[in-house]
Amino acid sequence: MKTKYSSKKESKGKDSANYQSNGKHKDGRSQSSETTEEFDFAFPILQTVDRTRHLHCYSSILARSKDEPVTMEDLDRLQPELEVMFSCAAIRVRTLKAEITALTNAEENKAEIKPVSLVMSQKKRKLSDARFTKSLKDLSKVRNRDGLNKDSVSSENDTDNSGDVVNETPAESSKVTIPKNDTPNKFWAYVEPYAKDITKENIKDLEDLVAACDTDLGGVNIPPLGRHYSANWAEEDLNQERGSSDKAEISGMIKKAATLCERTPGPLVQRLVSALMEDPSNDSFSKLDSDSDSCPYLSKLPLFHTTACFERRLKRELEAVGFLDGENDDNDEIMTEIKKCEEELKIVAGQNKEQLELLISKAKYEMKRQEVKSRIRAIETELTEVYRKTTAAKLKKKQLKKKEKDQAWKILKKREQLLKTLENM
Amino acid sequence: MASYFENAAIQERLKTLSSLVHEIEGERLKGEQTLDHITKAHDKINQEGRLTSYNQQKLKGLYNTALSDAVQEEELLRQALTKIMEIRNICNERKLKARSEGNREIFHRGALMKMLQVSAQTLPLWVGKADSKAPPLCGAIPADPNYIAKPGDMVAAMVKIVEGDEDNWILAEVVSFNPVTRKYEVDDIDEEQKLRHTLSRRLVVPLPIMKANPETDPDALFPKGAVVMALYPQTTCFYKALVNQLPTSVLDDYELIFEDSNYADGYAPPLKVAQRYVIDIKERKKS
Repeated sequence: MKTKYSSKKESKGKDSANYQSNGKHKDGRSQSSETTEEFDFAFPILQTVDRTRHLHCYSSILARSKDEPVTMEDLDRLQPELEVMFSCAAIRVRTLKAEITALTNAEENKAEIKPVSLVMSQKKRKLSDARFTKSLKDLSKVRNRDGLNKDSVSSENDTDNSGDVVNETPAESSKVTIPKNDTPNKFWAYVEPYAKDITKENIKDLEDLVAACDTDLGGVNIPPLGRHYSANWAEEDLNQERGSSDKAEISGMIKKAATLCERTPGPLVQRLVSALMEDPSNDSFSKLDSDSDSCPYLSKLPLFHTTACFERRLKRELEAVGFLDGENDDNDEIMTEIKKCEEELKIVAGQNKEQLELLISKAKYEMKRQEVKSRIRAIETELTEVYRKTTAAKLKKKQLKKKEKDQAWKILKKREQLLKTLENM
Repeated sequence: MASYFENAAIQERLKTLSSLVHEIEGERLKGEQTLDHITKAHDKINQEGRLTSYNQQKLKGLYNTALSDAVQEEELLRQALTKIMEIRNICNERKLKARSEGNREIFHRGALMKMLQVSAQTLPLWVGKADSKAPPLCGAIPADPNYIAKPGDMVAAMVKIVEGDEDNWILAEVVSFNPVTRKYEVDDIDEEQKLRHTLSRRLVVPLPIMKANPETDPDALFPKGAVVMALYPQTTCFYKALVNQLPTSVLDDYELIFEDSNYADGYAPPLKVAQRYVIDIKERKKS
């Protein structure tokens, strides 16, 4: 009973021994989606039972005639042997089925699946090398991407089991870049216009500014005195109240109101009257208001339409006599304020103009220097090119042609010259 | 008369078996040839270092041939094993009939143990088609809750030992089942006890009637570390044990570690026990 049959015993001698050793390498990776070039296959062990070693009873029955029945004594021995064969055949059926499906799948989708195969030892090194370089490539790829498209990275990692390191890198880098530091970019964007080269446009802008200063210096053109704001406001108020009714009507009403209300004499009238009064202590105007009879002059004032009319008439008369200077007529306090501001503006504008002109001259100078500088830069690139050529020639131990040498010297001299001009500027 | 017919039936089956064996050999040789071709093809592909589509097609063809060979061989082997099972069933029936007539075979202890071993070993092997699950009473798969063991079936039965006043799971053979009382009559397998027990269903656990194939149906085996009840070798009683190692082939047995107070650490050294005598018994309540 204790006889141990091992259905795993290989009947295939050397070949099966080879398979057996390969079997140990069987792992998930060998089935991973490597490219077809890296196909490494060893094939499944298809078990059979060694008849001479394990199937004694079976063999003895075979040795007999086909018609001779099996004896009852054989039965107990035959059964285990048949069972071993049975199990073996069943396993073979399963293995083959799996292999056929794998092959069919491989045909349908070549790169994806391959037969349930084992990595062969002699190919293993090559494979792992390839895998190493691949993972390196992946790493650099990931760096370049810097977690920009995380999805594609992760999907790639899904199909590629090559390196766990690769799996981690994108995750980490993407985590780090989330709080993006934008300050340096902002700083350079801010500083850039101050540090860049001066262009012709900049000079034109400066000249425009100088012209603006000139107009300031020319002084402010003060428009003539318009209507008093109160008149304007009264008109606007009425306009609003009455809606958009007739304009002429409104102005008429205002005039009417003025005749009714403005009985107070104007400043000229007051001055004149006070000058003519004998006793200034007696306020003639209060008397005028309270009792018109006691003030015979004013009560008998000629019938002018309004006090304003009277004021105007009085002014004309006084001017004609020569008591009033007609030129100074619009010299009110607003006017003096405007004049004062104008003077200040003129001073500032003059200073600005001075500075701007200085700036323009400096900018023009700088532009000339820029020109030289750009020429120097061009020559420098030429020079590095020549240097590269000469070092290459040296490495190859080749003599430079005379023409090339001359050219190099020429460029060097030109550069020196330009540097000098830049200094002297 | 009856015995004549039975003998004839057995003889006929033995003859069929013989011819089946020859057929199997034919298939086997054919299959071996195909496998040889496959090996050669494998070697060639390995030498070339790559799998061309031509080779792939060739390989697929070979695999298909080998598959049909194997299927054919499997089928013949299944038939042969069925024949053997039939023969055994006829023998068992004859034995049962003889017993009911009062002709009970008397085994002495050594013969009994031998008989138990052989019957475990010759338990039919269950090999399902691919993707089919092992049926109840195959290996570790328990019986259906409504399953009734047939007369002559081996069971584990919980009986009271008269002297010791303690419970014991013993190996027994079903005599009958009374559907009214829902109780089994079982015979202690140990002739010396000569006891017949009447037990309720829950105290009778049928033993597997089929072996599970560790190579195709490892699911139908107890896992390593499982606590089971198993027949202690050279006894007819079941004891608690731990699965130490699973059988690796159809002919292999479990390796179990029994609880044994005779040993200093409380466990016996690993012992081999056939699939048939390893069962799952729920820990009974200590009432």
